[in-house]
Order: sequence, then C-alpha cells, then structure tokens
Amino acid sequence: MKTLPISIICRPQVVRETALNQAESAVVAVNAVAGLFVVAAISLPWLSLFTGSLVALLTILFGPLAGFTVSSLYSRVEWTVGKRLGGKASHDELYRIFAWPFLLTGSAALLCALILISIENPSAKAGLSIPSLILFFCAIRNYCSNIIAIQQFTLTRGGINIVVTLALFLVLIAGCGGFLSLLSEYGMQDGLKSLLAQP
Amino acid sequence: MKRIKYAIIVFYLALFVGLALYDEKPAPGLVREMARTLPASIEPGNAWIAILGLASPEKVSPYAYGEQKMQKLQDAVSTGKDFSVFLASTMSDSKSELQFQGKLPSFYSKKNEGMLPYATTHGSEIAVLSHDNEELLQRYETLRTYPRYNEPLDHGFFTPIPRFSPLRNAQKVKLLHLAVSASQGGTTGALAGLREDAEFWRFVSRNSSTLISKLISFSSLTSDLRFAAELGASCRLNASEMQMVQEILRPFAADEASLAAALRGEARYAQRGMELTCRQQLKSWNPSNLLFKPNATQNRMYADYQEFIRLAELPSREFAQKRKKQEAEKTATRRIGFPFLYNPAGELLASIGQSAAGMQNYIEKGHNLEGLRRLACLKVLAYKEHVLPERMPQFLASHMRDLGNPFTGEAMTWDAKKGSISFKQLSGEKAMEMYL
Repeated sequence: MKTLPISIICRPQVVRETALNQAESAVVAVNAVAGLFVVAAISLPWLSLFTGSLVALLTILFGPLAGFTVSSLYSRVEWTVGKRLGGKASHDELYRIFAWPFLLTGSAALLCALILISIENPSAKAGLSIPSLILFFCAIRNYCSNIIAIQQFTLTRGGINIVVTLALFLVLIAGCGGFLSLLSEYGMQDGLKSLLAQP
Repeated sequence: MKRIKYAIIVFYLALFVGLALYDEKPAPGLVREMARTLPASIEPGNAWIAILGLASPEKVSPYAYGEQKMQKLQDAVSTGKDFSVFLASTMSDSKSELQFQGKLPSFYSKKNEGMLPYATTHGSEIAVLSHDNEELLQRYETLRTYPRYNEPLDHGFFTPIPRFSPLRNAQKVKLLHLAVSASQGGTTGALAGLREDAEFWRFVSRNSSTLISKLISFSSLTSDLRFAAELGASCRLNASEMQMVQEILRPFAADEASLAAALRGEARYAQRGMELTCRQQLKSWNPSNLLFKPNATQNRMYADYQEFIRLAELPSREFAQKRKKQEAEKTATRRIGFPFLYNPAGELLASIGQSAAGMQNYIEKGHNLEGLRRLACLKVLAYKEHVLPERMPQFLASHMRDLGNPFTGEAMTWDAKKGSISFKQLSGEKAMEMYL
C-alpha cells in the first residue's frame, strides 16, 4: 500500500516502518537534509550581519555535518541509556528512528525562521507560526512513541529513558564547549595572571 | 555505504584542516603603510610629549615627565616584557600630578550665555580660577612654542593617552581671561590672544594622527570660533581688529577639518595594537588561533579604514549625500562575507570594533566645525552690516553660496523667536546653533 506523506507526519507506526525499511544511504541523506534545515534556521536571522552567500555556504557546508553529528551522537546516547534501562533496540534501529522526526523538527525550525524574518506584523507572525509548532509537536510525539515501542519499554520507563538521554546529550555538548573554552582561556593565562598581579 | 562514510569524514577533515591553517597574504597597501617610517615621538619640540606630561608634579617639566612615560613604554616593548609591564609603564602617579582647581561654567548653549557677559559680572571668580591654576595656564601657554606635534602610533593600544581635560580647562580659563581683558576695553589684546590660541589648535588639528586628539582639537576650535564670533559681534572693531577676527574665522585647510589623516593614523594604531596584543596574549597552541588569523584580520581592518578614509576625504555635500544613500540602502555597515569561514573571530572583531555609524559621526564633526565657522562669520557680518531681524532671511540667502549649510548648500536657518541661526546635523543630534 502506498504511504501518504501526511502519514509520515501524523502516524508514528508509519514513521517507524518507513525508517526501519529504508536503505542506510537514505537515512544518511535524511539526516543531512535535516541538519541543513536546522543550520539554515539558525543562520537566517543573522542575515543583517552576514552576506546571503556566506549564510548559504555555511548552511551547505556545515548543515549536513551538523545533521550527521547530532544524529550519530544522539542515537549513541539513546542506545547507551536504553541498554542500561533494559531496552531491546539496536543502535542502527535507533539511528533510523531518529532520522524522520529530526527532519520534521528541522523543517519546522526553518519554516518558523522564515516566518519570523519575513513577516513584520506580530499577530500574523504568531498565527503563521502555528503550523510549524504543530509539525514540531508531531515530530516529538512520533519520536517518543517509536522509541518506547522499539525499546519495548513501559510508558514510565520510556519517559525516563527519553529525559535522561536528552539531559545527557545536552551535558555532553556543554562539556565539549566548556573544554574548548577552558583550553582557550588557559592559552591566555599568562596575560590574565600578570593583570591580576598588578599592584 | 562505508566508502561514503569515509569519503564524508575525509572531506570534512580536509575542509577543517584547510580552514584552520589558511591565512591571507597581507595586502600590499597595508605592507607599504606599516613599513612607512614615522617621525620619532620622543624628540625635543614635540608638543604631544608635553601634553602627555602636562599634569606633571610641580617643578617637573611637562616635557620631561611625558618623555619619561614614553621612554618606559618603549623600553617595555623593546625588551618584549609582558602585558603587566606595558600597562604599568603607561600608568601615572595621579596623586602627585597637578590637578585643575575649581569649576567652570558652560557657555553658548543659551542666548546671552557668552563669555563676555560672564566676564563682566564674574571678574573675581575668573581671577581666582586664574590664580589657582597659574602653573597649568603657564604650561598651556608654553605648549604654543613647540614646533612639532607627532603622535606615537606604533605601540597601539598600549600608548598612554594624555589627560586632555586639564588642557581643555586651561583653554577655557585662558579664554575667560581674554574675555575679562576685552570687557575692560582691551579688545585688541584679547583678539591677539584668541588668534594665538586658535592657531595652536589648528596646528594640533593639522598634525593629529589619532581620533581622540583630532576630536579634542575640534572641540577647542569650537570654543575659539564661538568666542571670536562673540567678540566680533559685541563692539565696533577697528580695521586691524576685524582683520584678526577674519584670520581666526578663515576657512579651514583640508587637513584641518578632515579626519582622513587621523583615520590613517588610527588604522596604523589599531594594526600595531593588534600585533602587540597577539604577541602578548596568544600562545601558538591556543585553539583560538584556529579561529583568528592575524593577516586576514589586519587586511579586513585595513580595508575598512580605507573606506572610512575615502568617506572622510569627501566634501561636505558629497559626504551628506553618500551618508543618506547608505542609510536608505542600509549599506553603511559592511556585512561579513566568505573570509568568516577561515577567520570567524577576526571577522567579528574587525566588524564590531569598527562601527561604521560611529565613524561617520566622527567624520561629520569636521563638517559641523566648518558649518560653525560659517555661522560665526555670518554673526560677525550681520553685526557689521546692522542687519535687522526681519531682514535676516534675505541676508542669509544672499550668503548661501559662501556661508550656507555645508551639507545642503542652502541658506542657514533663521529662528526669529530664539534669535539664532543654525543648520541641522546629519546625525540627527540637535542643530548647530549660534545666537545673534
């Protein structure tokens, strides 16, 4: 039976089947496109500071990379946490399940960014942002539902798994950023020390 | 699939290594500019050194004090000492330094708020101010004997900045002193003293190679122009006195009201400052080096300054047209382009550090000064020709060509209610105004 595009958005089971049956290259491509959308959404508000061509190039060059990194890292964290909680899914399955909601989230973010920068009327902005919000909530619902199903968790255990995964992922990102800034700070330490030592 | 993954990894690795290691070659114009030898700053007869040491403790010569400060900095730089030594060398012992005593009123912001009426009614206060700041005034007078004004640029941000406030206060007291003399009938002497003061500030303005020094000279010249207009429009002047007024109010030479030379100096100052900061602050292994490329950043700063210099070289009307066009098209601020890929920190620093809007406001100050000179000339002329208030619009229109609004070429605006002539500033600040 042919899958309607709307089912990919609304029905978690259709999303799960599509994700698990697709070729690996298609999953990689979906993650790349999702990353592209997210980076585009982040870059668009900066058009007053950066040229359009730079924003486009940054999006094309680093969007897919962001997509690969986030999807690999997140599914790896998800797999690790899930395993500790007795989950049954393999890393490959989790990687595939992550791709489609990620694409939906990216699309919602891009749509929202486009509305925010192109429309000036605040009420029109709010009204037109509703579809992107619906898209985002559908993506979250699909993801949570599929993770619980594929890991064969109860609702509570699934909820804990999702919250812990998200928290751990954020901690990892913050940790990497902190390490880099620490390294950078240490490189300037002599100057700072001498400033502090001033009478 | 594995091949694709490896290809992606190799692609991004190569991209990141390339972006991390790439830096531009220094622009030829920048290399030429930085290789240009500047006159030594520690040189007898350099007024800048004396201004640096103007507040020296009593019985210490300002020049010797300023020279000592500069020598300390030069030694710290040449021996490659660290940041703290740089900073310490530029600090001064403010407790033992000469301080300005007393408070000065503000002038010319309202009608009848000139120096002459104040001098007539507050002679004793002016005498106290002169007495309490005798040493400072004497030093201020001595500055005029210096034949050179060379600002050091090659120590960048580490160069000590002279404390200009005692200098500006000394000028005000000096002008008040002249106002007392004029109010007691000594108009010729007052005008001679004012001409000497205006010539000194024109000299500073001509030779300024940093923004701060240029802007200080502008504000000192503003005081001189307003006082000259007041003297010229307060009593009947004989031919030689009128000649002195005209000399004070003569048109500015290109290098006096234009910021081009100051911006050229400022560009070098910023480049050297960045070089020294990088040398002192960034270790070779610091990850910031991957995001900050010295050559690319210097090229960008150089290009930005060249654009500001071109803008500063424009005549007033062309400057106004260009500024309005840039505001309408929102092109005043340069947007960051492809170099951001390999030099993100440097591009952001260059873009944020050199605000186009701020620089345009500074450039405008030079044109405003020319406008003020025209207002002063009109005030003196209107007094000389006994122009009645009702005839003022025709009078202003008849001088539209030589003494019109510098930005539009139209006649200056007459406000019959306030009794003032004025022109609008481009920056949108309140109009430049002169009460008749």
